[in-house]
Amino acid sequence: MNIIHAQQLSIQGVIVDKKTGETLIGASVMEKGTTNGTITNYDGNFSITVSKGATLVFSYIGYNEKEITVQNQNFLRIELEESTKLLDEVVVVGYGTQKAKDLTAPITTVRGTDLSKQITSNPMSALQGKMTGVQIINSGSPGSGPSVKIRGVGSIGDYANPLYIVDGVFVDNIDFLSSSDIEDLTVLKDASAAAIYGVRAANGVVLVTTKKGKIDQTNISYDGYIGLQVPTNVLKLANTEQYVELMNEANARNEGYTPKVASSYPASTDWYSELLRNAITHNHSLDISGATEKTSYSLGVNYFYQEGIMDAKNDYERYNIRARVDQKVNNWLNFGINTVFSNYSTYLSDNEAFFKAYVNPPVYPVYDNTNTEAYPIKFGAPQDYGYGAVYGNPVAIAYYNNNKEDGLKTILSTYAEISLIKDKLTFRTSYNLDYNSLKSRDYTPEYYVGGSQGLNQSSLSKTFSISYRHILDNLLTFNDKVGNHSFNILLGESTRNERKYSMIGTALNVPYIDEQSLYLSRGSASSLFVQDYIGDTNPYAYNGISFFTRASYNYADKYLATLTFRADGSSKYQQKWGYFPSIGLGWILTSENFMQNQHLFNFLKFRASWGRLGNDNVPANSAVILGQTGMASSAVFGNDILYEGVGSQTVLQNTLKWEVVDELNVGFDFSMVHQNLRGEIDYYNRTTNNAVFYAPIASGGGVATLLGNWGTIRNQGIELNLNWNEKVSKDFSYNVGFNITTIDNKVVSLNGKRDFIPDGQIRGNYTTRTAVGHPIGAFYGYEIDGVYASEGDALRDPVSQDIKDAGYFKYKDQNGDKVIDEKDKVYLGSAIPLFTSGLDLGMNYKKFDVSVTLQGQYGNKILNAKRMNRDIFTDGNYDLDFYENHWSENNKSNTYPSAEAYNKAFIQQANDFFVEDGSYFRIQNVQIGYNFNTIKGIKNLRLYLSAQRPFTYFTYKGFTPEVNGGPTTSGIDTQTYPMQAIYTFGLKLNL
Amino acid sequence: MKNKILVLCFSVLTLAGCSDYLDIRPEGTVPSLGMDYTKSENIFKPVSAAYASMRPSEVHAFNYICMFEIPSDDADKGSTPEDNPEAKELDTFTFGSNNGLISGLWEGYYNVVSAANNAIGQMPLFEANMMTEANKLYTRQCQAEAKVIRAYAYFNLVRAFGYVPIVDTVMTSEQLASIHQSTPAQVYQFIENDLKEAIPLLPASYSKAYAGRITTYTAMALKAKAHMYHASIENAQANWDSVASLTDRIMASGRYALLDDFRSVFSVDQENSKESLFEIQSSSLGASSGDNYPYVIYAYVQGPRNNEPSNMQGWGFKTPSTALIKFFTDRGETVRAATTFLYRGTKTPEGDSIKTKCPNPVYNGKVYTPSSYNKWNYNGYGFDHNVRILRYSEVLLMFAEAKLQGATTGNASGQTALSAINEVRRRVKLTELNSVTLQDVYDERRAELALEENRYFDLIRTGRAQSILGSKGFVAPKHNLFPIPNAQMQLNSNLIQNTGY
Repeated sequence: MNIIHAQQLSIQGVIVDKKTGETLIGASVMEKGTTNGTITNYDGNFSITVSKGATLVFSYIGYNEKEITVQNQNFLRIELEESTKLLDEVVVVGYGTQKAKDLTAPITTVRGTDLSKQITSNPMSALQGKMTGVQIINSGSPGSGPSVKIRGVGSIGDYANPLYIVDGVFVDNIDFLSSSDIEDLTVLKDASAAAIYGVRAANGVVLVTTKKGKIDQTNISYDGYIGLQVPTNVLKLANTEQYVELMNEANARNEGYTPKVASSYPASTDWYSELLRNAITHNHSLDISGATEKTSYSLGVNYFYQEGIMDAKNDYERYNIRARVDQKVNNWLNFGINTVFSNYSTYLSDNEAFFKAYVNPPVYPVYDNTNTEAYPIKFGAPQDYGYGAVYGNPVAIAYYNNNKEDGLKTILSTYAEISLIKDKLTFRTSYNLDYNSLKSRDYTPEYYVGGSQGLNQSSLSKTFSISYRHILDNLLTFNDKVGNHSFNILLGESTRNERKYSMIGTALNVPYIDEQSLYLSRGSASSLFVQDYIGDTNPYAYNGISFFTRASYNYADKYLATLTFRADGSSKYQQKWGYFPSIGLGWILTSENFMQNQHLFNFLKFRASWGRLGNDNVPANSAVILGQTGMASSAVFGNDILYEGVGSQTVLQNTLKWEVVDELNVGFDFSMVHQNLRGEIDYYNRTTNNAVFYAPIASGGGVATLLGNWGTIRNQGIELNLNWNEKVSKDFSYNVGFNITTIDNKVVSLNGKRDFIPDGQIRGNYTTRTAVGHPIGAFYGYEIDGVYASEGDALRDPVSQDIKDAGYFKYKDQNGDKVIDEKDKVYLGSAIPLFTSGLDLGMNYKKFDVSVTLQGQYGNKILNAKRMNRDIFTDGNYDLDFYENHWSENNKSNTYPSAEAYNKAFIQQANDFFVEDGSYFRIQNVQIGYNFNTIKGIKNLRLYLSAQRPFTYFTYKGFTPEVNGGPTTSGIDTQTYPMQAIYTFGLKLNL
Repeated sequence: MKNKILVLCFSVLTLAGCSDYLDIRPEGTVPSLGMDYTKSENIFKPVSAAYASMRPSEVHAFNYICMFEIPSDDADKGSTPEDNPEAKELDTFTFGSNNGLISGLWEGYYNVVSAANNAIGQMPLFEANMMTEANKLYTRQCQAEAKVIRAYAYFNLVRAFGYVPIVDTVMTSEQLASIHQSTPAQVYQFIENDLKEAIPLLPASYSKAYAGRITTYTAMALKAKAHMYHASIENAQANWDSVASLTDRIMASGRYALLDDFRSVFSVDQENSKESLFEIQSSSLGASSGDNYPYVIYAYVQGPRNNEPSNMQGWGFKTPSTALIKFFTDRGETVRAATTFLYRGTKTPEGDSIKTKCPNPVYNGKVYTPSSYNKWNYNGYGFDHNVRILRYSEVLLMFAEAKLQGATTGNASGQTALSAINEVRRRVKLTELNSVTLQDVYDERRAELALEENRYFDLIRTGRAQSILGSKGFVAPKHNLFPIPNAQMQLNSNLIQNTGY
């Protein structure tokens, strides 16, 4: 029984919304200056014991705080007013924070809790469909991260990844983080916001802050889920009967070909169903965080496991430990240290197995006891049935693959902040480190299946690799407020150092006893081979220095301006220094007098910004021609004596200039209808000057492609983001979020060097063309005007083309010259979508919550390059769609060719049969949860069921409509493995 | 306050200073212009790379056999009927400018040109830095070797495409994108000029360790062959005279002779023998698997398809045609037939079987490599087999042809057309001729050099292609040349397509 001292008061009360009178659950009641506090319960009631004369502080998210000094009251009814606090929220911007309402640029933040709702191994994947201007393209393998494009393909393909910064540390991607590690994720989309990062920021910047302890909000929580991954949209292939029928049709007029008979083959194998399985994934996170006045701490531990959907040993396992401490040492010194250790271990799958599953004929069985030569497992061999060495048993490929990779990533960030003039002048220095070490081993035992699928000596290959990035930042910040003028000035300097080194060793004849016996020295000494130069980007060494400044000005919360300037030096370019300015202006219209009487807008801000950024995430270019050593440059004479040679190209290197992006952004932020409706609408116009990429060049120089500043590309479009939140009653509230981004990509100039750049070479033809006035890497080929129904029709047609016969495409004679040649090729579309869009629906009813996320894109094209390999795989399998629709005497299709025509190079080039529509619509996530918040001793327990990507609709005849690629080869699909849907059950426990 | 300043200073000191910090060359590379031109052991290195550039499949294996032999009446495509439609197009003269094999061969040979240009360009830099006269001579010799390689590349390019651009130095990509084609006559002159400069600078022979390197006689034999082809375009008399005098010099040198055993000419043991003037070197270095070894897959792509054991099988392309077999039978060839034709269902003298389950009745026997040589993991058939380009018997036959075409030069060796052709016939146990006509020489060439990538271009240069290959689909004059690859036309707008394509 508690004894209450005479000077103490026991107070009870209720906290309600001033406008609606609804009680507020979980509102905070604190005795000011102490740690004595509580929160309101499910009915909005609270109970607290305080000293007489104490001040109570009442607060709740979205509402203005209220303070009351208590003398004699026993019961308090507190009415809290909704605030524009959402706009008082502090947003992380480059090298600092800003109030959301002071922003002059479109900056979008997603809370970690929203990211955690999506079931993904990678937090970026969770963004799909949630943010305007951000296009996420997923890949299917376990643990792999997506490719991210912000505002279209401006900068180029593989180098178009945004800059990721985790607590000040520059990292290549955030694959290593779990969503539960993230406090919030901010995307700086436009130039003025990103300009502060100058050299790296041309493709946008993703700022991630990890969880930090909050004062008086001690938190211990567990968050875990277990789920099942199910392969979806698996492409169907022909069975033996259908395959044989197509082969016989294709070769009917082929001299010397004897028709195959389906019954002569022992099996009709569906290779994909043999190779795929449903797979488990589970994730567990434990977070502890809290803060006192001087110290804030946060600790997180996370374990993630994902099994691969290939039916062989492949999976991904990751342990993360995150620890963060921020300490106020005295009134002029703060320091902090933040570390993330991420440790992963994965058995990698050999995706070649999926490719072979796609091309292998179905005619032979997975296991075959008649294949006496096979050992140790009697797999079926295609060579036993007359097939060449290009085919191999896919299940055997998956089975004999044993490739393990372990990696350790350490992020360390430590800072000291010195207050030189209290609340005005601050100096901050920080050291950030991203350190990665990787160890992998790839072992293949001695085995044989058939043809050349086998190894007569076991082989072991080991890789060790270290890469690291040091960044040293020094920042001086000055801020002050004089009357209505407030300003903030930042001066900064940053030094960067990036290195990567690797070594690969291989040895043969290493017997396998167990994991501990796999060492190169146990193999045959004569076969030991080591090398430390793996390719152009491995190893690497880059250095960079930058100087930057930012000035923000705010007049009476009405007029805003931000100026930044950055000078960057990089060792990657011949022209070493680049200069990047930007300016942003804002006008908060609702603060103006003439807006005081209108009731339409609660908040309306007009923003305009312009910025210039550089991209140094391109391969390093050498100004001088470099010599190449190695086997391919070395001759052999006499009795097998090798003579080391040094070769080199005979075409001069281009001098590489900075790839620079100029961006203009104009937009409105608004909120209406009692702040139920909030939105942003922006127009953006980005021009990438001197875009750097590899382009094919004419023969004679010894290399097929050359890196150069080949062109200027412009992306423009509209981004719209609308959010509706409504609390209908005490029990029911819902929200709807809609976003759409349009992208219009055009090549503005090719720097006067060429008329056009062809690329995407397949079977001796180029499939894309980059030319002024068209999107970069647009598909370029023939339009199809139908299929010849008979030989007579073909002969009667006055237009002549290389092959004209029944079942062959009739290409459109665009210029009317009665000859089909290069001049009749036209642009067939591009891999860049016209728009991407997402829709978020959420609903809370009593203790239930339901959310649905939809997402899609429209207008992009994909080149189905998987089908364009019949020069090598002439006797390979066909997909079921082709079987069902192909032209034949009984089915005179006007869109599909005959099986015979299908094999010919004349048909297998870029035309609108192979260039398909890649638009898709997807249910990204559906989640239902139930909250138990009345259990004694526990703040909240939430149980949920979720389905991730349960349904995707697309007409493209492939495994996924999400296709990546380089700048001039975007959208060329060779992916042969399926995507997965993930069904999970999870719980989140807050103590 | 003092503390504050101290801490401030510490941080500022960490600022990196110099712009040297930003000057880094990409890791793991050797700056070509930083090559140490003072070291004599570096002289051969660029030339070694030029030799190595002739190994890729596009240069001397798959594309080579598909374009230079399969279209002839001596060979069929091979493999299974449905395999490789692009090779089928070449076999049936239904190819167009977008055939990938034709495109690959163009790129492959221009890479050889580039490697040779690189070596040629570097040699004067070495010469300027060498102290001794011997070393200076050596740099000029190496340059000569590179010139022969360049001449050889252009020789194949001009025979295949006719009108090709001559790239002879380092260029910018803009220059490469606008260079004009030269006429075949100009290309032949360029080739002959390179060889003329090279011949006096090359040695007569090398030590065993360098067996296979280009000698002065290699250059002479190649020049003779170039003149032989040049003769069908212009200046017949002058060209045939050159053929005769060059081949005569080779014969008179006494360094070359025919091997007694015809079969051994194509064996791994007798590579770089006294009969050989030019071979593309191929070796697995005794290894049995691994990435990156200096072998050419010329023999492998012609190996018996689906044969067992797995180191005795290949892709099965370029099979001897029934027409060729009939030609051999009609001539009473026994020795040559035994080597040239490898029938399924038989066992070789060396003890290897070609199984009856192989899809083609007969394979190219000249690339046969006994299993004891094929140690490579499950697909090493013929990785140590060198590609024969020029042999002494061809020198003899070129001499005979030149004399019969009216050449007045080449009298030092004492050979006549008749004695030359009979020397070739004697070796394979054929009865000697009493008199010789041009047709006899053509026939002897066909029989002796069967399946060695000569027949197709021989037919074209002697004007017999239409009559003999018409049934296969050959149409003159269109098919006298292959089309300029479509991909190249896209990259250089100044290229003009050959007529008919």
